[in-house]
Amino acid sequence: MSRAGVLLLLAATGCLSTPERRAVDAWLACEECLAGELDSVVTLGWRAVPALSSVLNGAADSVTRTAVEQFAQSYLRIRHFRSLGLGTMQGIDDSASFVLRYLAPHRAAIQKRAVLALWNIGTPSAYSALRYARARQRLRLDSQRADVTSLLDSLVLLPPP
Amino acid sequence: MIHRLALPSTPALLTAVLVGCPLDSCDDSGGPSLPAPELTAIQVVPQVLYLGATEETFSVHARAVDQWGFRYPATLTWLLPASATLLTTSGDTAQFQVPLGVPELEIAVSADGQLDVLRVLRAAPLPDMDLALAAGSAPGMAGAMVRGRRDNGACTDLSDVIAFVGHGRLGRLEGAPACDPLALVAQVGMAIHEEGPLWNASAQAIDGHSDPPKTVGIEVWTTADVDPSVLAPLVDDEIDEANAIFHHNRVGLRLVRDPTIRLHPGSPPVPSRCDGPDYKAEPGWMAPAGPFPTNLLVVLYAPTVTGLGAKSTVFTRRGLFCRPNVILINRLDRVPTTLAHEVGHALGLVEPWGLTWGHTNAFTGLRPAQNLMHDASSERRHLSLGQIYRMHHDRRSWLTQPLFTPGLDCGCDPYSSGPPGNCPTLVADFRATKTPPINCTSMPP
Repeated sequence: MSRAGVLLLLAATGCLSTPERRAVDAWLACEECLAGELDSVVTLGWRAVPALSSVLNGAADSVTRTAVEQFAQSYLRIRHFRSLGLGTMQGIDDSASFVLRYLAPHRAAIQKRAVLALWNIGTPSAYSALRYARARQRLRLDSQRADVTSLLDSLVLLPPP
Repeated sequence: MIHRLALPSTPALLTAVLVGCPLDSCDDSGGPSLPAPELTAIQVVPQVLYLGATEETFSVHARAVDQWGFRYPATLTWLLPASATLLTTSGDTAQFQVPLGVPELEIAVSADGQLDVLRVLRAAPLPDMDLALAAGSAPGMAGAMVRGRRDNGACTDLSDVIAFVGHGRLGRLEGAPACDPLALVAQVGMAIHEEGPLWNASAQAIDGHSDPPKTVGIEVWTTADVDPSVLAPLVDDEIDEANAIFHHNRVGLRLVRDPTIRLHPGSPPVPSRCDGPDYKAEPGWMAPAGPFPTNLLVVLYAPTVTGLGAKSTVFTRRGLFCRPNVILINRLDRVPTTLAHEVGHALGLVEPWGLTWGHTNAFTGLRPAQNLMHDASSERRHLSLGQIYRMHHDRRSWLTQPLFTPGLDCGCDPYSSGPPGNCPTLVADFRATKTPPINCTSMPP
């Protein structure tokens, strides 16, 4: 298939190219987000909806997996640093507790970012994805669910931007 | 004959932590234990070394690496054939001498069952060229590729230098530096980065090698809805994460927290962004209004840190630095490296200004995703020499502010403009073990 054909197929099916997928991941993972990450996702329009919807509905996406790796690396670094007598003398949680301390709010945060991106995309399919997520209430992480649900409620009840 | 052993692949940290623990079912109980830090590989630098027609003495650097990629304190054993002589060893560096008549050989370095091999070839990598190793060459094997052959490795004229060599790779030559700076670079063990202009090492000191590291006092603040005694150990984890990263990169800085976590009174409202526009052009940066001290680096664990995106949508950031001394960290959405990253901004890592704001996401010439100043990477932990240098000396760094260390400002040039020479470029990296102290204030204006 020609390059143009592939692009046409991607566009028709809503699949994202690798750079486009990276743009979505960048928005979900950015810390200060000074490089227009949200705008880049909004530019993708309806084609970004499946990926964002997947995140919103709790898929263990690549951003979450890499975040877990990051937290695990940090745990190992801190533990090793303290074992050298260079850090504070306090103990450190077990690895799972340490990772989960950051993971729960992190997953809620990327869900909120998915909500914001969908709302900004504002296409019918994006709104459908928001309503679906709100109806299904499949947002995970009970301690953080209220935040995401509240955001969903506030946006879904608003007219499209 | 020495054969290269198959080294283990990079260990999968996650495997060690969450084996059998899917994301959706992780809990606090029954998690597998972590392996102790252990040596997983030896990496000799460079991998291949070309000797010139006359150069006989050279230095080799080897790194013992633990399972999460940091240098590991191991006792190295150098193995070499009888045709070569081990002159000196110092830490992870060894100096060798190879007689002129030896065409090629292999030198191995081992520790704890791991092995890596350096191939030494008596030939130039390109036709009609010679590698003139500067006298006193140190880790990183800084050198110069010259046309034709030379009578000795210490060059006297670089007019025919066509490339620099560092880490066993060729680099491009920028400008027409005199011979002395090159020799000096080599003497202090600086690897010449393949993308960076030559840095005149005589200009300024690298405090990154100072021992003990310089203390950077920080004061932690939060809001009244949080119990400081609960927050304290969590903050200390993040401070130790920052200090571990600084330690392993030889930044020469150590964050020390004031024991008291202070509560923001909440009136005026707890800042979630810098006053006014988030980033005013210099010199108009402002810290959030509030009761913060001016002589310490303030870290406020705020309920939220906001940004503005498409269609005026407000979203939450994980962290933000507000000049001159206030770091905002989102208490409800942060990662363990957020504090270290924001401290990097506070210490001058904000260039290219207006383009990436110090973030390395789009940088070339270094490992952007592994760099601490990447805005999103899960792998970030590295700081380059150029970054470390700016943390100490750049006028944008908190450390050069009048309230901290008056008068210490060597005037680093920005990333992409200004005459090269005063500072290593941001992407310049180093593998030196010791740099002789040079009085920063003695540099020419």
